[in-house]
Amino acid sequence: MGEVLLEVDDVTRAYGSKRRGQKQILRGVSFRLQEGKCLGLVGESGCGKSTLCRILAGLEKPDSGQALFCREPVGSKKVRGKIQMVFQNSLEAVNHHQNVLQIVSEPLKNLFHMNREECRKETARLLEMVGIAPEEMKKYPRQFSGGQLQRICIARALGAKPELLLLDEPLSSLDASVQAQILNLLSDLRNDLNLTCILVSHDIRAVYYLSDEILRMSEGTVKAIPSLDTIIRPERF
Amino acid sequence: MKKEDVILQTENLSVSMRAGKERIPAVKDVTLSLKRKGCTGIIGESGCGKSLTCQAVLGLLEPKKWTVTGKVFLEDEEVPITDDRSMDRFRGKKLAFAAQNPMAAFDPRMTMGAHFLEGHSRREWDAIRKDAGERLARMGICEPESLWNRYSFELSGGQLQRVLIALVLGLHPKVLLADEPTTALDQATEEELLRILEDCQNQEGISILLVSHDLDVISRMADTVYVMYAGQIVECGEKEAVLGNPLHPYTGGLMRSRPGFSKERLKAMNGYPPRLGESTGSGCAFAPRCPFAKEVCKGEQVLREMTPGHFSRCSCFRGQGEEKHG
Repeated sequence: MGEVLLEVDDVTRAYGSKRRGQKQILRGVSFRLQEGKCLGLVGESGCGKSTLCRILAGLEKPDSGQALFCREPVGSKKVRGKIQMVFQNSLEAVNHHQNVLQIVSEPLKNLFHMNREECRKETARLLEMVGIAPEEMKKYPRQFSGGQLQRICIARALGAKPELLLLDEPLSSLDASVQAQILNLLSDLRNDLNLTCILVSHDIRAVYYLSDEILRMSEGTVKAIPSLDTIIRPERF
Repeated sequence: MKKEDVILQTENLSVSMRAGKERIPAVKDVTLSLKRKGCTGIIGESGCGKSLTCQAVLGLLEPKKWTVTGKVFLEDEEVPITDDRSMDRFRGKKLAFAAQNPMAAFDPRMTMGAHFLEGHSRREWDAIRKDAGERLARMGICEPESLWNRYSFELSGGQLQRVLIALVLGLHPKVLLADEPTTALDQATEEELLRILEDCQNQEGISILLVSHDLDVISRMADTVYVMYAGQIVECGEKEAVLGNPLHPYTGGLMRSRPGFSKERLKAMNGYPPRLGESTGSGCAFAPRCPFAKEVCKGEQVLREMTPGHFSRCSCFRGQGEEKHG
């Protein structure tokens, strides 16, 4: 059994002000994630899936409780690069005034202080890994389709050499055939790089395909689904 | 299909984008029909012209940017799709539209209530408010009354999508054009919304033209399916025929690439669809991605009736049997 990589203990988070009323989004979320595993997170809109992801990525702080990555609090400088997030809308996740080279080399410069030539080489390698021709690195985001841009976002996340990849609805803005390409890519990357992933999605089939275990979120709490086979429902076609 | 059964019909509907003196074709000769009280589904990938077809039917495309040709008929009456002023007679009451991006569909300076009441006389307000409240409650919106004074930016994408559907159904249209109505929704809400659309179809007799890239949604709702690729209809027919036994490799590829409840590697199609303005030559636009492409695909492909009522724009592919051995 792999080592426990992520420990989430009794995390709570509320939005709003005390005067105008608060809405409790997370009500004591606790779970463990082992190294190399993929955890699927399913649940209705507004149940707190994305908030949990943002907390794990260090973009938000929990009101109480703690989330530890390799026994260090998430968001701390030591583990900042080791947790990377891929967002739902790839078009909004990139700077439209930057070309692909600039987008993908951002973590390379910030985390590994690479020079221009190193950045170019590493960007080419990362793009090849996600199935984008390195010659495309001078192009701008608007010159790509949604699926290609999502691949570029994945390449950027991989550039930080993450140990945990948070995938927040990475498929929902994509077409059926492109979804399949991205799911295959994520599956390959998991096997090749031994990546630990959290996949947030409301596509139960995609979650089944990629995940080793599934947590169901409802009204800010999580409940483990004992076996993947319990979620199978009859095909419509 | 008998003529009296058809409520909406398009004939050779084409849309091209104006770029200086150039015309870039985006939708090419789309002929489709929608049954009375029926649901016609259009599937295809982003940029294949599904949404443009809907917008052209409603005459929503700006003449400065787009050139629209072809005809649209609603119950034997020609819809003046290129005459913006005459279209007011059709939009809303006869042809309603639920746009893809609900955030852009609402005026951010108007409350949700104001959207429902806009254009109605003060005498009707109470009835509209009551009707809207009931619809919103059925759509799983908690406390619809509190929503009345809220703005679009205060609601989530899923909530906005449901409010938008409630808003257009409140007009009791003859035809609802729903452009990706379930994209922003989770599985439970999607189920609820589809049930409401089914109720409207059965109880109020609304016919639905449903655009989606979600094959599940189409297979549940539609009776007739049109598959679009690079601005053209590549396959059409009854749902059972098209989704059960696809006769175009693109439809087959779409069906195969869906994840099932399995860990087996997905059979994803290679490549991406051509972008708007990208030249595909005179031959089959899908040929560069097609595993069954032959020399003949370089020539022009026409939509041919392969089996009764089942049309395909491919002369090489013979369905699932070939797929297994191909």
